[in-house]
Amino acid sequence: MPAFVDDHVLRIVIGLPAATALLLLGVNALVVALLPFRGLPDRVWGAAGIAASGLTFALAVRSVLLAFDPEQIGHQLVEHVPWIPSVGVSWFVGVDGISLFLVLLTTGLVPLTLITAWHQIDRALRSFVFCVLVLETGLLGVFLALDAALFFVSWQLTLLPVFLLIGIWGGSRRVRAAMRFMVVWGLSSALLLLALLAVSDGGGFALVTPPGGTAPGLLDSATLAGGSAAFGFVDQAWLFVALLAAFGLTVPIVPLHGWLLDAESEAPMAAAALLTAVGFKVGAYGLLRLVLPLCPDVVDEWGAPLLALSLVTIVYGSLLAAAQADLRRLVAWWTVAQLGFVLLGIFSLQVHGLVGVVVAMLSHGLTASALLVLVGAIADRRGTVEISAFGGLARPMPVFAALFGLAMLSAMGTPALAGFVGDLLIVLAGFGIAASVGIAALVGWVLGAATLAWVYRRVALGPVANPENRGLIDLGWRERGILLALLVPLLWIGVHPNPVLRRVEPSVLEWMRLIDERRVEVPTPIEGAAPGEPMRGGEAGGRAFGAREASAERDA
Amino acid sequence: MSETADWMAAVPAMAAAGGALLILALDAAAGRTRLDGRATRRRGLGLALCATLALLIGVAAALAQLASGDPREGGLPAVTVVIVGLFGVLAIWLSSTYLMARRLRAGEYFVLLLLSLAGAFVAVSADRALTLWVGLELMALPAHVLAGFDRGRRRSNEAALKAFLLGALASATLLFGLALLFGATGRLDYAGLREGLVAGRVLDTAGLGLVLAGLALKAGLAPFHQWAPDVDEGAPASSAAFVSVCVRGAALLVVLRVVVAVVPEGDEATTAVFAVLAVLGIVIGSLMAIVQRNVRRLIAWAGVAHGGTMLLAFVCGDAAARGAMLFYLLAVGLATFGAIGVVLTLAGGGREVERLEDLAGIGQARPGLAALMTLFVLSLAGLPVTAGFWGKWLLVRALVGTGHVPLAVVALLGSVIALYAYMRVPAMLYMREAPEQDTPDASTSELLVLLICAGATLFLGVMPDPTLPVVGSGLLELLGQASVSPS
Repeated sequence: MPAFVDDHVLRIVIGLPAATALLLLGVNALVVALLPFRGLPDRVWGAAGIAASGLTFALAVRSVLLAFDPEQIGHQLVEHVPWIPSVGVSWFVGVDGISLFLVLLTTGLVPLTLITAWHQIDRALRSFVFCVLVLETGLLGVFLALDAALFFVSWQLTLLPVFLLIGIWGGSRRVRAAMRFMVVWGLSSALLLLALLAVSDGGGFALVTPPGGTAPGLLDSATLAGGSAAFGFVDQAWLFVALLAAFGLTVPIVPLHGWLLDAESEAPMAAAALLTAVGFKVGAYGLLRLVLPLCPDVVDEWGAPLLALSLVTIVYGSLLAAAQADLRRLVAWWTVAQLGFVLLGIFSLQVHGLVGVVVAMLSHGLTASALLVLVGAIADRRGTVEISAFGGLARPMPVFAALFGLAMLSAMGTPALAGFVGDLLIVLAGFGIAASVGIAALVGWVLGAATLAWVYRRVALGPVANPENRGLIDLGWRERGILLALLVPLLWIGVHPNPVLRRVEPSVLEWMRLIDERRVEVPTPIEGAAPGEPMRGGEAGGRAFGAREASAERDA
Repeated sequence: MSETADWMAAVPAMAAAGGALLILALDAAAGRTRLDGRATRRRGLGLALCATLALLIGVAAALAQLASGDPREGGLPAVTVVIVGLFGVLAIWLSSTYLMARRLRAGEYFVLLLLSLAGAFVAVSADRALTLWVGLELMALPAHVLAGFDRGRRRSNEAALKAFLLGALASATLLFGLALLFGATGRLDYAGLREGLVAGRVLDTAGLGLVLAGLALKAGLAPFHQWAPDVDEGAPASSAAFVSVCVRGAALLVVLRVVVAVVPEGDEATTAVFAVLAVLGIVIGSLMAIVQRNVRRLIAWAGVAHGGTMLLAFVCGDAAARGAMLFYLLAVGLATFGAIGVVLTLAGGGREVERLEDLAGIGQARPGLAALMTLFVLSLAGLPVTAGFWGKWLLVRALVGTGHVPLAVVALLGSVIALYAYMRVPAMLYMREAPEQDTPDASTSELLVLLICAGATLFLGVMPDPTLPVVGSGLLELLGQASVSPS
């Protein structure tokens, strides 16, 4: 049994949640048919869901994280099985340093989501569990797929669960938010499908050469860039426009962000953490995995406007966050700003930037979840998340105030917390391109931090202005446990980021090599600095990079 | 071609027609005496079994023909018989309980259904234009009666009248076109027509155009689609399922057959016409689907959009695209059947579903049916892990592969618009509270049909491969050869 598990670990990690969901559905149908009950009790669904997702997380830690060899180049634990040969689709999955931490984040958040849901979801918990488990499988499929078609199928598999999660258990305008989500993601999927089919052009969809396979993958230099004339700048540009629109809609890049605010503020509290932390990041992951290697020349050539777009997203998100009257929309706008950082890191095309992207996605996921759990806690107690309804919460709820403060500090990107590491690396990458880019990113960072500090002061500090807040009960043990599970990794990564960086960096270097290989034209410099230069420098300076990070930590 | 092979091609139609006559005789022999509920049910069950048997004989004959290597258009007629015949069986079992609940006479219903299918088999197996016309008439006339089968309801009568009038117009158009073609070429068999056609000559162009317009009317393709939603809404639900899947599906396959057999390879005018028709269908169907408030009209308009999408295969003109179209037709047929079947099952349980709002709260009251409905709607929308997903995938790939990227964009944008229209169904099912709780029963035969549709949809969605060689590549190669070397 263990041997089987070790040989097929990714398949099991991806499939286990959805398989559990289907099994529960089947048992439920049998119970309805054969016994005089209206299905399995919700508690059974909840417990089974928590158990299955917990097992998935345990498996992800034991057989993926611990089995992961930081020194090995390329993808690990690779599985390659033909799935639909006549269409050229195969079950091709593998993990590298980039996807490793997203997988851990996803698998770790799902049990926490279900535990939160156990108390917060008051109706149809069984459907909630079903949706979350299917969503988990879809997300893991996206992060682990090495076959573009599998990526796409997994991507689309997330649509229905998210639609239902928002639409069934959401706030007052939930149906509108759910429909809006569906249309935006449907449009994005359509563009993605078109781009994938155009690229594959009758061949398979494997991204890299499968083990023992002869046919090169989509991203191998032999396929497209080898015939550089066949896939020149114009083709790349078309492809880039389609893919950027596809992923930009979902990331989202300002001005395509409207639906995210709706979705985030209408989603049920319990699911919002998962959606914010992971769901909306698959777009960024897609940019990293598909857009960069498929259209490197376009990213070079159009670097300036792309970086400008990212900076606008950072600054706009930070500014708008300040204008929000309620805490959920604050988190939503802060998420937009953070996604701006992620975009900046991706389009910087530098080692620092890309490593920063992975760390930033991880820290944003943990921080956003923690913030949403905290917001959910006070929403439970007061029935509102209006900032103006609170003030001086530190007095009745000291533990809440302390943990909220810690989460806010991480969100601000304070040193010794994970948020700092990611943002710092990305800002450094910005400075690597041009001082103006770095300064603009820094300004956005400071603006965001100031906003969050201001909001924290209004919510937690000062006198208790509203008498309703006097008798609030502090966080319970369940809430404290969940928050600790989220905040301890944040602290750990912030203080000692090397275990993460050590695993991410080689994969990023390898991925950059792949991107580099596929360049058709000589990169043109952006504002004086050559984007190709720091990349190759990055390879040499790869080790120095860790030291630089450590010194930055010491300064902090 | 040997004589036995010729007879084999006729077996499906003969089996269906023979079954119809047998049922007619049995039903008449049993008399019109007033029966109690159980006896009615038993009689209905027996007749349904007879009809199923007749169709299965036809399907088996078609399969035997395929196995022996039917040379005509790569076995397209035989494949059509298999697909349409199996859908016919589903239609029979979907309708039996429904008819009894509404006190409609199952015997007559099955007779008409089988006769219509016999017509479909003749039309698709025809090698000459007049046989085609006779087959289409035999297919259409009983279908019109089926649309008006619930004589007591005015909506049903209206549906029948509309179907009949437009069907007559279609027949006249088709016949006129055939007459022109006969005048132009002096031949009526497909091979002769193909040889005789001269590109650019007025008579030929007009004739071919009228033939295609007539067929498009029969198949409910835009811009000749207006009758389809009205009929689907007004007809009894079981007839609506039959007409929209079996009759219009068969008509679409007849279009495919005629195009492969008659229209010269790579004829630019026809290709352009199909491109226009396809875009019209996608745009009109998707946009109209958004504003529909009635479930069956929504499904009908979705059918118009899907019809347009399938026409894109003709634009590509290659064998892969035609195989993709067959797969797409199978997927859409299964999903349409299932979706109308859910509506019909709810109606059988005493909950009439007309407007979308009537679906509110089904997610809580009937979770199983709601889940099935969601699955079918997802397949119509082309989301994984359903058959519709691969249908869309294959068609778009064929379009991109043949360089029709703008058309692929239109198809995908249409699918996004339609996605919005479809997702209103799960939104209603799960996101609205039920007006009142009711727990009607579903009959076994209906549930069985729904489960078969759902199982096939899921199976084709997860593992399309075993099917693809049958409707796909195996046939494709043959189709490819056929279009290179016409019989």
